[in-house]
Amino acid sequence: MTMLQAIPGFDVCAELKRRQPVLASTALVFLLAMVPMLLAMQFDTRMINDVNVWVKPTKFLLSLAVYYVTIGWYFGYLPFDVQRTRLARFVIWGTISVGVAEILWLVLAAVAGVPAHFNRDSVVWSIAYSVAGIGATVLLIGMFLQARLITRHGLASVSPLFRLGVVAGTYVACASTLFTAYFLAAGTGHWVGGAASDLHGLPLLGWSRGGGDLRVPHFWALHAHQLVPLLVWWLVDKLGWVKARWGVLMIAGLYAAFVVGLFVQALRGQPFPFGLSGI
Amino acid sequence: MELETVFGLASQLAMVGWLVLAATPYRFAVAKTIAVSVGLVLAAVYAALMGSFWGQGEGGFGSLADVQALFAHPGLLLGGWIHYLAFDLLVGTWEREQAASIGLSRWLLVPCLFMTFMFGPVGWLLFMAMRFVRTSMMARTAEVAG
Repeated sequence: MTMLQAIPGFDVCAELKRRQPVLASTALVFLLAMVPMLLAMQFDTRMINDVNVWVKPTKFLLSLAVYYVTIGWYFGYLPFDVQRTRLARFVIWGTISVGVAEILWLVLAAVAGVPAHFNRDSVVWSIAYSVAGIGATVLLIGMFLQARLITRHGLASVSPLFRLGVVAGTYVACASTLFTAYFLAAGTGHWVGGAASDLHGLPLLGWSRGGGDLRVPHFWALHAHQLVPLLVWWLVDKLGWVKARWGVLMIAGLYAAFVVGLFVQALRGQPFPFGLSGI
Repeated sequence: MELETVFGLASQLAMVGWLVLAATPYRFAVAKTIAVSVGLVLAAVYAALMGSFWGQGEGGFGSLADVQALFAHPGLLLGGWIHYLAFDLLVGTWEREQAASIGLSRWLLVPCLFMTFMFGPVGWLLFMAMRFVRTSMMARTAEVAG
């Protein structure tokens, strides 16, 4: 153990495990599952939208790991007993189940070398895409329910303004993701103007640099879940600039406005972040 | 990455696992950790190969001709080879653990490990035979002592 404690971030991992062990180990499994996919990218030359077929499942593994770490961490703002309630067990196991199913779908699509999202080529892939949409909704319901639990049973030892920040951030994430993701899914692809290719996208994220990309507002919408509480923690607990509930709500409101701005930018066919075509 | 390179690296890695299992005394518990770690890496490589090439191969598991067609693809053939490497090594790890628990001499374990390395199931059969004899000996000793 002493050797492990020397690793940076060990304390954070131990704390996450203490807060919610199931979500902590699930997140670790999802991160480790990236290893075979990163290896597969070395062998597999097949492409979807001009990027390797394994890029998408790898990104989703990372994204889901971040999601599980987040809700696992937020369980620390609730009394431990709450984790045993039926609602909390749904938040944990419901989201894990749909996450696993989601990854399974993406891996099968990568093995077959076909697109996963927007794939209406056959009845089976079409149904799978629709079911995946329901699964994604369950992930939003999971975080929404957790925020409600924090409102009702949140620990008094956590500062009330920060708790409000967690709840407000989660609500902003749910509402804006519901809107941006469903708008995205209702179309036929994530590009607006620009080339229908992910070839010259932003590093790591892959967003189009030649036109609008609806994945941009979707990303920032979803990550209100982490970023709004982080901003609130920084401005309230660290800097002490915000001292009232309306201040916290304003941070959440401004963040929502930021997502709306990005959504408009994407719809106008302008690339993130500056609206200037990079290629 | 060239498949030939992957083949070479995987074989060398498996070899490290086998040497550790065969050459270290039972009290060297890290041997199991090392062998299992090698197994984990091989399994990840196997998964990557299958994910990459499964959709591109012909054939299947339905008939001998199907299997032959499947292994005509070099990526899937390499996957099949790494499957051997990984599972043989894990069986070897299990043999060593069992041998330690029934107090089988390491001089008897090593031929089993060697045969498992070379001919998989033959080595396992050999080990099962030795374990059978060894445990009947132990039962007999217990009976006499009782």
